[in-house]
Amino acid sequence: MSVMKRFISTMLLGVLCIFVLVGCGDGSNIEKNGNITQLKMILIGDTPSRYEEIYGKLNEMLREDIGAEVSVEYIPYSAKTDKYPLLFSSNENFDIVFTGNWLDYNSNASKNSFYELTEDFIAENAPKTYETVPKSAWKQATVNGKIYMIPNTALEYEDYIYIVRGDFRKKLGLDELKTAEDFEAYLTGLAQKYPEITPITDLNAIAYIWSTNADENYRENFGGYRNGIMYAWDDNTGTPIYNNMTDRYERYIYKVRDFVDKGVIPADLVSNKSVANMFENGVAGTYVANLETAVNKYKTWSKAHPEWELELCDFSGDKPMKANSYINNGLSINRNSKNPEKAMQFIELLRNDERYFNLTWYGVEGEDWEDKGDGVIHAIPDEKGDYFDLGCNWGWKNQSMLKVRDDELPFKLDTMEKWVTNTYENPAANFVADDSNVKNELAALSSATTQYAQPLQYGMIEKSEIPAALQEMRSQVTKAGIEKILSDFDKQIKEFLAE
Amino acid sequence: MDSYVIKKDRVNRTVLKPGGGFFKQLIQYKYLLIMLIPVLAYYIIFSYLPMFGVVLAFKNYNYADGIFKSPWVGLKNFEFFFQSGSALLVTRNTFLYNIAFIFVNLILQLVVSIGISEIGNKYIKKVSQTFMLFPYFISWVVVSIFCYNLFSMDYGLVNTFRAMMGLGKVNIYAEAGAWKYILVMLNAWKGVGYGSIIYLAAITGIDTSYYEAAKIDGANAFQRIRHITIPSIVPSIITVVLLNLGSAFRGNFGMFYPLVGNNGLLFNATDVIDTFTYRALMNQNDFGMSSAVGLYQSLLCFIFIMLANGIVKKIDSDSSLF
Repeated sequence: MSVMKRFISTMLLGVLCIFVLVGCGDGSNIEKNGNITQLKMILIGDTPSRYEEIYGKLNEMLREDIGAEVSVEYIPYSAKTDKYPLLFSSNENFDIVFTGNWLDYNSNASKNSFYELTEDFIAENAPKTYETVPKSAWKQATVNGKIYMIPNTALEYEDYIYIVRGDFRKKLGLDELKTAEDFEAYLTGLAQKYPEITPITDLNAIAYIWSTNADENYRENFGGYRNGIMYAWDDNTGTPIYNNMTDRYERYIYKVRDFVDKGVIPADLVSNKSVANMFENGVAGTYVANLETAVNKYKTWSKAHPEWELELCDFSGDKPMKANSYINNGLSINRNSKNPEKAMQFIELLRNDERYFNLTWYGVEGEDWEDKGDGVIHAIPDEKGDYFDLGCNWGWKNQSMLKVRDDELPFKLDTMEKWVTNTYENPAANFVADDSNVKNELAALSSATTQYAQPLQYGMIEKSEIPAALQEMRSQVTKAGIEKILSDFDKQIKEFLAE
Repeated sequence: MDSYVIKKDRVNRTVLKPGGGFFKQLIQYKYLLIMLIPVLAYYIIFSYLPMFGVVLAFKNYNYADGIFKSPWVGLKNFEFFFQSGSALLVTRNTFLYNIAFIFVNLILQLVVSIGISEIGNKYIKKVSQTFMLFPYFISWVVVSIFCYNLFSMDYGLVNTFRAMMGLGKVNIYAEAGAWKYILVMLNAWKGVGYGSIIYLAAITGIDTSYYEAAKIDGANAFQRIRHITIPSIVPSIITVVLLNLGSAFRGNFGMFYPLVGNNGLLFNATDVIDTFTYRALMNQNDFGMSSAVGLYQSLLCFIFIMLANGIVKKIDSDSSLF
């Protein structure tokens, strides 16, 4: 009996092992079912609550139009640095994938992750897209001479918008915040009178208001954070300049330390892990985000905490703005896709067909929204008071298809209008360097900046010790090879502009 | 026992060795061998097969060509590590932290396990053991939040206490020197309970008649520990220490990164190979360069464990691992 038992348990263990091994195998999801092609699309974010309903409706149309069905797999934001790159290295089976320069589009493209989109291929399978996507957008999506992405074509700005607490502003006896000086008075006032509130936790915003935006000679559109470093181009000579070497940077360092001394920024911000929820929990004085997010958060939080009397502020003044690059969001086709043509036809429909676009952007007509004509819609909330949001539909965002809500905040419309009329065009604004020649230097630089620049940027160095620390930082980044990086990039920028 | 034969081993000791041919032994030990299959499968799949991946360290990897067809680049992937000038510092930090962790934990684990084994009351014994084990199950990320609440400049317990005593506040997150001790202490706090289980098991295995004999001869508790307990568990100690030394050049990323994070002021005292690599390469997503560092660590670990094992073998050949 016991021999039998032992035998059975051994067998079971063996079976278990086999299952584990089988689980590692290639589970192909693409199968032809009748004449319907199954497409799989990968998007970023959490699966929307109405996924089944919306994509069910979409598939009904899709079956008729091109004989295909699509299923979507969502990768959570938190997994975008680990699970997302694995999609390509593990040869997973999918057809369409959301991509963008914040998801390392360039590096993934240069590693041959995507299906190459030749002009003929685009023209044949997506004629409207081929016509309407501007040449400059295709050019941005070009890596090593080949196109791998269908970029979105919407006007977006990454400029900061600030939500502040109106209740505190009034208690501090301040007028509405309109300029950087007003904002500073609000922050220092908070630090003095309400020590339990952290006035601000976003250092990028401080860098932006008191360093880059305050610099007459600096145009935000020149340069930015790319290839893991902050650099800009000299307006006159066109040569790249490393941000940490500029006077602008120095001004920022002193400003941050000043804020730390005044209690506006906590001295150990670098180690605080709960920064993200502080405003929501009522213990921070400012929330910083881009226009879209800030307005959405403003609506939600105003409803939840009317007593906070939240206010939206814009301190960009009349500086010319840079529009986001087209390749900030887009869709690519997987190199291993078995149906690239169908995938392309599907993207064409998403981008250019009213029915598909409205369904994925605004929901079901009559249920989630009503057409008011002239590109204006009235959005209808569900019983919980929430409006339709499918998430991650930015890959096929198309300015000519977008509609305006009839109850949109005037702040958003005004700000957008101000920015659109004052947009700065820069031919090199969307240049992304090929870093293969300077990988070692970039790695050394990345490590040196976290070690020597971060403490300065977080205001952790005493004012009297800043000059020495700045010098140390600059000598370390020089040692890491910043000059080699910049001269390599300079060559590439010149080539890029000459094209 | 008919299949055993008496033989002489290489140092001329008389031992029992299994007799019969290879196949006869295969049949005789079939159950033991079957029990070995899952372990073998595990090591083959997760340790031996991926070993071929070390070629990545010498390649410029791209997805289309895959691991084996990507072009060779020689030692180029290693350059960034040595070029940075931090290679020596982070290697030294990694090694010294691990050595400190191993020996501080060892001493505390011995004290705890001997202490617990000497406690007569069964109830106190169980309770204290359980409490010791608790920290092991807390994630380092959670520990890092405890830490922030202890050491934070404005709200931290330590600074609030200092303020109460009339001492000035200190930003502990800017004091590199303090972190050497904080890290070793936290690691000990977290690892002692779990590690002491092994020694406790070894102590339980000691024949009680030794202790009875010692008592009759008039040995006190300390003498019994000194002359019976410790000598009896020395083989376990050596095995555990040797196993830990095998990863002396691998930094515990799961510990260092949550606790130190991107706080550059602390790096000179806290940077280990793994955190350095993460920082240098997180923007690049380059498989070749990260494999190169992995290979460098493996090589150092290999050399070091061979040395350590060789030394142990010289001193006491029965205690060595292989």
